[in-house]
Amino acid sequence: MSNILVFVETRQGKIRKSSLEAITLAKKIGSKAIALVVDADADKIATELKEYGPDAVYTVKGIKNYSPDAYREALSAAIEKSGAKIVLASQTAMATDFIPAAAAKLNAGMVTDALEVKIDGGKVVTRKPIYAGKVLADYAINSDIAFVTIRPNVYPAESAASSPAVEELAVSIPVPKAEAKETKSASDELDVSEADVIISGGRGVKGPEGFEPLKELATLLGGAVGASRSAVDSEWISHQHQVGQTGKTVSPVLYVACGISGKIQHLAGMSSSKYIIAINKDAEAPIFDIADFGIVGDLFQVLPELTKKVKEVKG
Amino acid sequence: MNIFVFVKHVPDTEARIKIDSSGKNIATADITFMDSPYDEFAVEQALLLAEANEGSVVTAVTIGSEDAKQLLRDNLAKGVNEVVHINSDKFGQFDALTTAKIIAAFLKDKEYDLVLFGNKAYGADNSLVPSMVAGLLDVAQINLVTKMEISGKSVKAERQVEGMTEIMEASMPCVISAQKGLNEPRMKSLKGIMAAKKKEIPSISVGDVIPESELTMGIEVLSLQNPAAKEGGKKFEGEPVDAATELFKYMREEIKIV
Ligand SMILES: Cc1cc2nc3c(=O)[nH]c(=O)nc-3n(C[C@H](O)[C@H](O)[C@H](O)COP(=O)(O)OP(=O)(O)OC[C@H]3O[C@@H](n4cnc5c(N)ncnc54)[C@H](O)[C@@H]3O)c2cc1C
Repeated sequence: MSNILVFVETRQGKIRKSSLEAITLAKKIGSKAIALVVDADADKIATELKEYGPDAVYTVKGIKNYSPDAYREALSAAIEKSGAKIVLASQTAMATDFIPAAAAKLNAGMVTDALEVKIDGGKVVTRKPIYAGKVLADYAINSDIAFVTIRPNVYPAESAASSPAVEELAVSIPVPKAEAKETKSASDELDVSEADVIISGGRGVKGPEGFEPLKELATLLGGAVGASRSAVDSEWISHQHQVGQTGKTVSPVLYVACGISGKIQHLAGMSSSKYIIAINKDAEAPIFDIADFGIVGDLFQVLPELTKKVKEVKG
Repeated sequence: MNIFVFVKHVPDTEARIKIDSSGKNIATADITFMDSPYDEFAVEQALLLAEANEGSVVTAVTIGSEDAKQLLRDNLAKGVNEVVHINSDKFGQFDALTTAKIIAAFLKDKEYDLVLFGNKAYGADNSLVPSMVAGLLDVAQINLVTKMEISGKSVKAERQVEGMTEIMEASMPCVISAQKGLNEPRMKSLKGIMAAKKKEIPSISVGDVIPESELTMGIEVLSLQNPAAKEGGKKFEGEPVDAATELFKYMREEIKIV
């Protein structure tokens, strides 16, 4: 099959973990996986990428700040150079910002938030949830070049050593029409969309302090804290943490829903989690219909006991 | 300022979605349609900007069937100045690329400073159209915007990206897609509803905007299905200490996460 170009996202000199997942997928379905790194420190990034087995790495070093126009140019140059017929990236705010513009310029079809990507009869076929997860759609991409972003955490990144040729691309960088001037880190917290474990709270946590026991367990397990819209709308926690139709879509290994009833709009964001645990006082709460393990009980009594046990082993 | 805001009629987000007999489309017979949730943030922002910048004109545009006109009436009732209905019965089957081509062709001969969208439409759940339109028109874009201000010909906006807030600056004309948090959408006023009732909704066809031959789709639906209902698993009811013991065992032995 064809060469696959993978856009590898970096932020503040760090590779986004889910970009590595895209490389793993590219290696599975393509003949050659070519990584594109846009970063002043791209050589260092290229060295780090070796462990994940790309066949080649293209670097673009001259773009100082993120700009959708400039990144689009870099991507277009890489597509032309590689002859790639498939462009893969992880589903992130950056990828869905500039890649669709590049796809449209090439008159190409694009599917975002794919759960599955394969090549079938010479075409790229993807599966993705639509209508907030109420429907699964299988699409074939018919254009000459196919663009796909994949949901983080669906294809685990696998290490595979390689010694890729690293090549710097000559890109004439336009004066950006839009450009990032600064970034404010919300914190060093792991984003829910990338976490393997999410401890999530809803109206049942009763207030901002109610999130403390959730944070403690999340930290112990190296995970992130999620929230329902009710908790976010009550301003107990910021919107960054919201999971669901108007929040983020997550697929962690483990999602623990604490004091969340399980309304359809919440389920839209988390039902593809591998394991779901629910802790809820109400035995009839709909969250139990999709939970692999449900605890009928008070989260403020159950969570501290659980944390105690986890501490004993993680100590 | 000339502001265009694109809105879309989508099935009620509370409604169950069924697949029709072709297996490639959803059955729309028993569902009511509404404004796609994020579009309301885009409309509100257009109205706020127009209020702050005298002489501005806000035009709301939708592509859709005859029924989608109601959406434009609702937006007139909220205070938009102009509306345009681009008539198409096939709209539900267009992919993002096709939709973006229609919108870009529509805007090409217009004067516009800002083009606003919701960051994604309920349905295809793609967030592709705003960026594709910006690409086709070769204008600036800022997506997932939660805060914005205008000074002169430039836009400064905040967008939420993974784990941080990114502050963007762009020159107009600019495509903006709205994220929740940008504003609090207003309700229709009674006076607005009455006034909107009398207004004529101008309608043009997709063919008036772009030759059908240019509307080759990038993607094709192979099949749609409702996901298999996940079955509830084990349930435990008892003392908190015992519940925690059971949970811990499950996390350790089944999920192998501790
Ligand atoms: C267009 C639209 C978009 C939406 N988008 C989203 C979205 O993105 N994300 C989202 O989450 N929602 C979304 N919603 C809202 C959704 O419909 C629900 O209102 C929301 O998810 C409810 O949040 P909750 O489960 O925290 O609250 P509730 O439904 O009030 O449930 C609270 C639960 O906590 C339990 N509880 C209380 N105290 C305790 C305790 N001490 N221990 C254990 N359990 C306890 C209760 O039994 C109850 O089940 C959306 C709605 C609409 C209309």
